[in-house]
Amino acid sequence: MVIRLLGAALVVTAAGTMGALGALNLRRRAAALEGLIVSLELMENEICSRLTPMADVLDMLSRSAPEAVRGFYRRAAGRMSAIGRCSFYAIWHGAVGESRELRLRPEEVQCLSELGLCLGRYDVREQAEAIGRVRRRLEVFLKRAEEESARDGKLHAAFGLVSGLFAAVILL
Amino acid sequence: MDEAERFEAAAGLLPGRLRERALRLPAADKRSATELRVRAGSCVAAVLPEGEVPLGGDRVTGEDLRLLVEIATGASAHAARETVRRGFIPCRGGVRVGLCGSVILADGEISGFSHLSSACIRIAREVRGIADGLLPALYRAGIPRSTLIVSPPGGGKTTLLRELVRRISGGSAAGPGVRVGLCDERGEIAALRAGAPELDVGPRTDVLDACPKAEAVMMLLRTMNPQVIALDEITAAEDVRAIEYAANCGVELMATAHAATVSDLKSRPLYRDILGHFENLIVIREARGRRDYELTKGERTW
Repeated sequence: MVIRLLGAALVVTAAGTMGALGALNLRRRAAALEGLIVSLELMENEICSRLTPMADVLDMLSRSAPEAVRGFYRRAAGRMSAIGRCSFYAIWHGAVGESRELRLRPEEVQCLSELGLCLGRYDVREQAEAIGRVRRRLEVFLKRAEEESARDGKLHAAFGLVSGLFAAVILL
Repeated sequence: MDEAERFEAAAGLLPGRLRERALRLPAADKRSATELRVRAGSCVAAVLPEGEVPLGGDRVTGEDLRLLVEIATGASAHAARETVRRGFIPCRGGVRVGLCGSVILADGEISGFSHLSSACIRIAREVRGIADGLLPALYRAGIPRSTLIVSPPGGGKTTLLRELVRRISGGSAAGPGVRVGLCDERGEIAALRAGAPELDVGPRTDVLDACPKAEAVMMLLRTMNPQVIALDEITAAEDVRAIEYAANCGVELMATAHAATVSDLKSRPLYRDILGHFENLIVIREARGRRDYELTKGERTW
């Protein structure tokens, strides 16, 4: 009986944890989108005010952008030495695609990826406009992600716990 | 960085498929090449002592030229916009990319290029010893006196100027080392990288990089107390005014100008006014890949 109770407790804990992780993923996605918006603002300032080269901008963001998006900038910065063997767009696009920790959806990936077509290629005004456009779209995605997190986060956690309890009752 | 490495740095600015062709050049040609010519619709060519030699292979496209600019600017067109407006991009190792194509005019000023038609990748050369025979005659009372180097474009003025700056700054049997203020507008004399020169310009040289020459002369005079000011290619009236001001402050000058001969130089209104400030004139003549330096006394008398 003791073993059965222990097993039931483990099932409840595992299911509850899965539910909590689902809720955490939603919060992390929103945090990543928020981090991207903040970091793109920093990027715009560096490009427009200080005319900082892209390699230095990416390096700076890999250290000082919000924690949730540093890995993405680290990947992009690490590949800047490949300019000449591949285009900047390929580097940026590759870093966006590999940064799965951002938990971006396909339309968000596309939005961020397309920014690579403008960055470093045009004069400051055109780059500022492109960054501004992407930030505004990311803000829409962020609003949706926050609503989803608020609405579905508790549901994920509760569903995980309830399904765990239900499974435990059946197993007992 | 030796000559072959400098060539490889220049070839590294070419997009991959074009670069491979350039890197296949024999080592001797890599050492003697002074330029790589990249023209849309033609294959890449190297400028060697015997002339421009096509390297064969694929023809250059507009996309290749766009990629060349991306590589040369480190995918940062905004960071290079001031020099791009003036038609060039300074790169590592004193390499300079000159640009040609359809310019964009905004409010009567060039703001960039809409399409590129060609690019010229100039490779900086560091030839030690070329000034040795000239140095003693450039000094009077142990002080290097104002000298103007004259040759047509591509004649080796910058190479000789760099060597003169290095020797004057370091000191030689002709005289002790002096403080040299170097105006390196296009970043090809000293090739500063993170503040340190990639090309040797001597131990007492202060380099002002990427600054228009006329402003650079005034800044150096105000801040660095130079004994000699060196600047490449006097081309504008404001450069002439800055030179006159510096000469009147008692500073010696080392400068270069485009002209085939001294009489050619004197025939140009821009230069007539400054010849009186130079004690020495060096004319560079090139024949069959060999350069000769002819030293004559200038119009400044004592």
